Amino acid sequence: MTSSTQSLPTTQARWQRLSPWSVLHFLFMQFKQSVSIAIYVVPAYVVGGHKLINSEYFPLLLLAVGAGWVVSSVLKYYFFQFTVSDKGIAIRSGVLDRTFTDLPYERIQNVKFDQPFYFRFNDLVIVTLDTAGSAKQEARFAGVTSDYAQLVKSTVMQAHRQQSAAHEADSTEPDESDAQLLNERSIRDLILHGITNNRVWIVLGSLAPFYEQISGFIFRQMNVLRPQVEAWFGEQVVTLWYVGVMSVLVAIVLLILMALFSIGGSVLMFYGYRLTRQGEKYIRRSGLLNRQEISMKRSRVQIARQQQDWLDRVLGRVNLYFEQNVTGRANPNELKATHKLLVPSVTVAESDELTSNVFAAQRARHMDFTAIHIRYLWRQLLLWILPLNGLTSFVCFAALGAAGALPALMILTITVTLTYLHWKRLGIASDDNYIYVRKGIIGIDYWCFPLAKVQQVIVKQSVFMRRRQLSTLGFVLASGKVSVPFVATQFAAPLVERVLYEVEVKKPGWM
Amino acid sequence: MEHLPVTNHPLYSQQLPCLGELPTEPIAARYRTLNLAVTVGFSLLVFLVLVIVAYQPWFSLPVELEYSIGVAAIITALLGGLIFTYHFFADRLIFYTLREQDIVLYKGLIFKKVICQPMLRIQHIDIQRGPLERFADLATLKVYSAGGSDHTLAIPGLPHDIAEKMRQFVLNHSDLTRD
Repeated sequence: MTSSTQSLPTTQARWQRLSPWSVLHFLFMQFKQSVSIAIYVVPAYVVGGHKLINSEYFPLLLLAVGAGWVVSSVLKYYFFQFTVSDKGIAIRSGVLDRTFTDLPYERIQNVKFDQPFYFRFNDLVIVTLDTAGSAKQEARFAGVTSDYAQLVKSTVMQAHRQQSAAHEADSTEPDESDAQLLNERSIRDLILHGITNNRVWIVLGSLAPFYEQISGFIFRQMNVLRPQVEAWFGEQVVTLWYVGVMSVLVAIVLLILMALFSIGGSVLMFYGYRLTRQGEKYIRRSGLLNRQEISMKRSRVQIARQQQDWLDRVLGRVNLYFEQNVTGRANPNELKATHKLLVPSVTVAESDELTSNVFAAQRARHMDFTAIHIRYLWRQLLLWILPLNGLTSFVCFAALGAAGALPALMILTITVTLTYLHWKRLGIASDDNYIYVRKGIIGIDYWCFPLAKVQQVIVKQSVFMRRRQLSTLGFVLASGKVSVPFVATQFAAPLVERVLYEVEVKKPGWM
Repeated sequence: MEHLPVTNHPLYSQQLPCLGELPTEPIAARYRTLNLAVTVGFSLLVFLVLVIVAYQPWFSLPVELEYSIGVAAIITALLGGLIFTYHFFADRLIFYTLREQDIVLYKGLIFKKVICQPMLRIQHIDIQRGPLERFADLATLKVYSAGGSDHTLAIPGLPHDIAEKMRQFVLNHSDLTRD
């Protein structure tokens, strides 16, 4: 383990510790954990616990907890050791549960830097090493200088390049200076992004002037319905009925608050957004409190998705995603996921240009898309929309009598229109290098991926589709499956063969 | 079966046969027999347990429980019948083709699925055999790509020696040593 390495003179192969400031990180993590526990503990204490624990001891208790934090943080710092060798990075951590993580360079998919607010003042960062394995295998070092972080990164990159001789000829490790700025987002863009990605907020916000009328209406209706409820369910249930409606109202208020939070979150997340290209790598830096850096190699991008919802469409914006392999886990938080590189709320022209930067000569927005068969629309209507509408109509008529026709008809019109639009948008096209998929309902999404990145092809046909010469095409990419339903077989079959030819004969890499 | 089932199609894009027109091989017929036997056996076992519970001499059951035993028996019969019917028709429809450059699997009763996994994109491959499969000398060949575990290509009901040969063929394939 202690053998020194010639090829990487700047990194020692000795076990070393993080900066002592990393105690701050461990403290903060513990604080965060405690807060999530406190959510349960504090109400419990308020309700019953204060009888058990004398309030005189309370400051003492807090002090003990605080001291516990400090001690365990220091211990964690003390027991966290790592070494960077020519083979990979090894980490020993844990006070009681000792963990030994061994990360060979070739397994490291991605190097990510975070700068939380408590490391701002002395310019330390958290380095996260993403691996192809599970989330548990990802390694983090908190509290290294940003210079050292850069060093770790370039060591990983260098090792990668040495492994793949093919890539070696490409270029030398580009330094910061030849980074080329591709895109920046202004505060205005970010607020737009916050708004367009929180439709609940818009809906609720536009209703705001009517809240009083609405709540008045609700209570009147409740009073009107009260005798019926009493007759149906008995008197005891009436209180429940009021409580139920009240909790719905509270939930709506909470929803508004959450939406506001997530707008704030999106601004915090993307503040000072800069997308740069450094040689064959794309680097995204953003964040107000926590500076985040995500980098993605160009060759690793599996698919470019230009997503546009109805509000985006109204404002002429597009959310552009570049996705690499998911590596067996999905981060529920889209903003934080490292396998996706999001360019928030760019204009249509910008998104087209950025996509072309990654996938040269792509023509996602200029293709002639082959529409999918109208039977798809019939199927969706017969299988889902009409039965569901039957159900809602039944409920409407049962509740409102003849007046129920109005909402029932409205729901029917809306759902059928949306399904029609959904069908109308669906389309597929391909040229020499790429497959393009068009999706969406009101806004239009354009997905674009190279034929050469396909991992697996799935062709699905029901007995009825077979008779009509239709098939549902599925292309499995390392970033997930892309499927297009009800494609005419005369279009699908040659496309499948072409994909297989491209992959099996030309043998391109997907990483 | 002495030889590896390798078909040897020329790989010119326009002349390639459509995936649906390739010569295929069926999986072992005893896979279906095994599935049917297991379904029947398991259903009978559940029935046996229900009958024993219902008619044992040691204690008498409350009326509600007697009723729910009847319901359980009906559900078992229905589910068993459904699974039996499914395997009866669907297992005969599982075929595969091992080509020079890929593995193709055909399956499905109502939704016919053709899955094609190029050798180049195989991350790793393994053979799975449960106790019953071992008893019937069968194996399931699982082929993993970077597309994630949801898209693992699994060929069930292969005779064990064939599965081993196929695995070896895939492992020896030159594409697997590429990046």
